[in-house]
Amino acid sequence: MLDYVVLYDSETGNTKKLATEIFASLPGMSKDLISIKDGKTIPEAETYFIGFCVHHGTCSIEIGNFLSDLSAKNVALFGTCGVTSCPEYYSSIENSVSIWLEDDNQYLGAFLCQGKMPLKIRQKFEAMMSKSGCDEEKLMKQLQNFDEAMIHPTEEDVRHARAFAAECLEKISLNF
Amino acid sequence: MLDPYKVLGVSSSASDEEIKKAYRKLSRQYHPDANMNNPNKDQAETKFKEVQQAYDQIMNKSDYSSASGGYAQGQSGGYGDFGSFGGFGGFGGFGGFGGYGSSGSDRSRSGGDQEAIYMQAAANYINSGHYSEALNVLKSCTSKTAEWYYYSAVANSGIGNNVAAKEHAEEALRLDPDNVQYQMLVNRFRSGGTWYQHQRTSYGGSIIGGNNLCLKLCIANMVCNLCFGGGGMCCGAGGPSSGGYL
Repeated sequence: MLDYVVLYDSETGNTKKLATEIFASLPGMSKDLISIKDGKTIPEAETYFIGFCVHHGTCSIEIGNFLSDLSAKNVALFGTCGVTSCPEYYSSIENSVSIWLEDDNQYLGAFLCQGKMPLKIRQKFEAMMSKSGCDEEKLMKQLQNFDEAMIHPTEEDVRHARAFAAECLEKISLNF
Repeated sequence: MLDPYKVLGVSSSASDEEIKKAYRKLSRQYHPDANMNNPNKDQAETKFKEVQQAYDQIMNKSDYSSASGGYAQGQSGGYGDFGSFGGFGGFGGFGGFGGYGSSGSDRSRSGGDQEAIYMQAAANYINSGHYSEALNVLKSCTSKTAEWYYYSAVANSGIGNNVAAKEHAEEALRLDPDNVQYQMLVNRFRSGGTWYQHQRTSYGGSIIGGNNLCLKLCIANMVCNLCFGGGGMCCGAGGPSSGGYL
């Protein structure tokens, strides 16, 4: 059994970036980094760092199913979403994903940050802006949010992700 | 407002375990991933959102969220926490285009300064090599400041509009003749490839920060475009025909 598995679901590369950094920050060689989309068998590990991209305010059903199959493991979550860093929203995402875990796991917490979105989303907002009767103020906010997300995950986000991983390891060590 | 317990199909005295089970069951049923080929997928999505909201409401009511790791909140507590934007330099030195990331965000939070939002957006696009998009955003600005011309110079160069790029760099300097960054930019345009050949050895050196590097690459790109009349060399810029003048 491995010490750590970093499993991630990434569409635009944002979550993959965090996954790679978290993986690199984990000590030792008993670890693996796996994309859930690769379809590989996911090895058993004592601790899982599970990354997801946020759609519709939660994770993909694949990640949800994987989480619900875990038992007696240490589990940390991380993810990226295009929407701006609103604490309430992040908290809601965390709740909606961590619920898949059974109570016999040790839940270590979650790290979330903003991530860039595909350009087609901005183009969609722009097209909506040109239509009469649109909610211009709301759309402007969405455009602004899109533009702010363009540079994420930043180096600072990556540092926070690494710090989060270190905190998780500390939590694990305190329980032994 | 919908009764969250009704949405989840449990009684208001349901235990946490019952609520979780109901949420999981309904989430699986209505999750967009599970309804991609469903002709009624819009209704399923609406239902999914209702389930999410209902669960959130119940969790917040019982202060459930405080039991979690909480790191997300700690790391994401508003824009004030994103002090890292300051690390992207700005206009003071040889910094990148992220100067608006810090002050721009604050201003845009108040919702009043549309121009600041556009400038921030342009900076973000330039930083990520999306020069045409940067030009599109700059077109939306009503006032053309020295900074505007500076951004426009870089973005135009990025898509190969070298004449406009040089003109706009000079206009930026004309409007703000004391700005060292604009002076450097104009000098680099005027000196053509010499500057790049002279400077490029430094690209192999240490990367101080993403934006500094990006700025150097952007400028190197510009000068190369000026010399060779080609498309971008470093940030995936398009050729001369890929964009229009502002």
